[in-house]
Amino acid sequence: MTGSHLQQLMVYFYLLFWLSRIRGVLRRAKQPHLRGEGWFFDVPVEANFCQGPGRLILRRYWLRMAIPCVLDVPAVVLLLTGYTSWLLWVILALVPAIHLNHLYNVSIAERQAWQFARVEQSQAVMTSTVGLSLTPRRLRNYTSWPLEWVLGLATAGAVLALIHAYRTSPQEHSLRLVFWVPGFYLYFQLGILLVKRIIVAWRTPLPTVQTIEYREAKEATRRYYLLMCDWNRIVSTCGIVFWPILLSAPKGEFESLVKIGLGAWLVLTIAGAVWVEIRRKQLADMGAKVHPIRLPDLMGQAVQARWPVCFEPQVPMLVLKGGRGYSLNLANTATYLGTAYLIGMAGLLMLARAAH
Amino acid sequence: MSTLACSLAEVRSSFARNEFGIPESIGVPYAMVRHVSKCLPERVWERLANKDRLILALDPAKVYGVYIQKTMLLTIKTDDARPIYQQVADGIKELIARGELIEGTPLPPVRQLAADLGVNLNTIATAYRELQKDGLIVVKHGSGSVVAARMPTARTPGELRTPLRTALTQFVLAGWTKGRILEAVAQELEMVGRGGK
Repeated sequence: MTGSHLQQLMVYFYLLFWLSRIRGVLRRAKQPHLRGEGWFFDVPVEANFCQGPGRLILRRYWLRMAIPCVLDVPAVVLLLTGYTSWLLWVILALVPAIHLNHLYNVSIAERQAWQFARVEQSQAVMTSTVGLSLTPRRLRNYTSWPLEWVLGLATAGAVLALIHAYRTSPQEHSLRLVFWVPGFYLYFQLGILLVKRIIVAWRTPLPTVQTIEYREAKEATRRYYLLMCDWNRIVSTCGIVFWPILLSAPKGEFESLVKIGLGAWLVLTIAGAVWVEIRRKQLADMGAKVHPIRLPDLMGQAVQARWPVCFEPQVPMLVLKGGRGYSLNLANTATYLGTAYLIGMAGLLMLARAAH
Repeated sequence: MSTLACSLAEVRSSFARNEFGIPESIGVPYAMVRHVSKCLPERVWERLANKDRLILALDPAKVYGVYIQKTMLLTIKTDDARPIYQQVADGIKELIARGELIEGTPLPPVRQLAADLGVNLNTIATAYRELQKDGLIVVKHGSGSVVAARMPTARTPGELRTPLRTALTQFVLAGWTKGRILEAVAQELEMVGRGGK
């Protein structure tokens, strides 16, 4: 793939990303009213709350939604200066920024709204009883083995084809050209597996009222995120499989092959984005049917999670929810693995640069 | 053949009316039930067994198989006088006694239970150690804990009767009559004894 193709791809990718964000913005803007009148997120409030004290809270919530747009400034600069291949890094930074910002935003808005909560309703929301599912949750319980076999065999086939291409004409293909892109895709998949592990382990305490509905809503959300992970793995495997085809193509067909690849990728991305929106709506409806419950804080997380990071080896959670936001537990295995992964990614990128 | 997922209440009510024509000897709610009018292939059962809800595998004319798995739920109360590890251990013991957790059933890892409950890892590890000491679970390194086979307990009758005496004393001190206490004990025994041999 030539540099101009990559730049063109990144521009398309960024534009698509922007389009998909518009729907997300609308969805998040409506989220405070998802449960209907008398509710602000999961806080029971007076019916006219958003016309009274809630007006300012709601306005600030909407304003805070725009914070991640700060990262769009460098993106515009990159677009204007022509360094569009760097847009990928802006997108990669924007995705966690949007989600983290939303988490904090909801937490702040809810905390502010609790001051105006209806007393009798808010007592009903609290519970002193926690239900624990005794069904083990392991990554293998959420793994589709036929899919794993298909992905594994496709990757192995592509790697064998690349080895063959490199051995038969090393003068035409450099080691970096042949193996860097599939290597990057494989490393990307490793990261997705780590994310899957975190999603599976994500804590799921259950209330003792509406237990089945609550559990189904949580499980459906978990499966949705896992499916998103697998979708990304499928797309990256397609990239690995497409690479030897592209390398072995005659020079005349190269352009048309790239166009076919880009077209297929665009169709896949648009189809994926449409599906995501439909599924998100279903999940939101499912979640709205479940009565909100505040489960007891048995470990005093509110005290432990005073800072954005904490070190609690005896606490099994990756993220602790405190009174004023969230705290990343640096003593959790997932934190170690995530840090190692990011260092590895930086190393991989430096290696590619050095070999260039 | 189609599958139909339905609520626990619907299945229980269908069971009560015996709409599936399942022999009473097999019809055990909250456990796996195989309707033997025509058995499903093993792989289909395995697939159904992975689902944590109620699934009826239906044929337009007759039921091929019924699989019921209730979400095994352990309830922890913050206002309970017992420490949390004791509540966890007692809850699992009760489920084993009722026959809802049968031999070989895998238990969730310590980390999962501790995270779900939001407690220290040691709290759940202590509960599991107590269950292991009582011979109720087997901890297999690398593959987690499973419910052990029911063996006659090593405790002496005296040791077993002590907590019963303590509980009965509480009833007497609370002013319960002998008849009321006996009735309560019979009800509890009925609940706990479901899984008894």
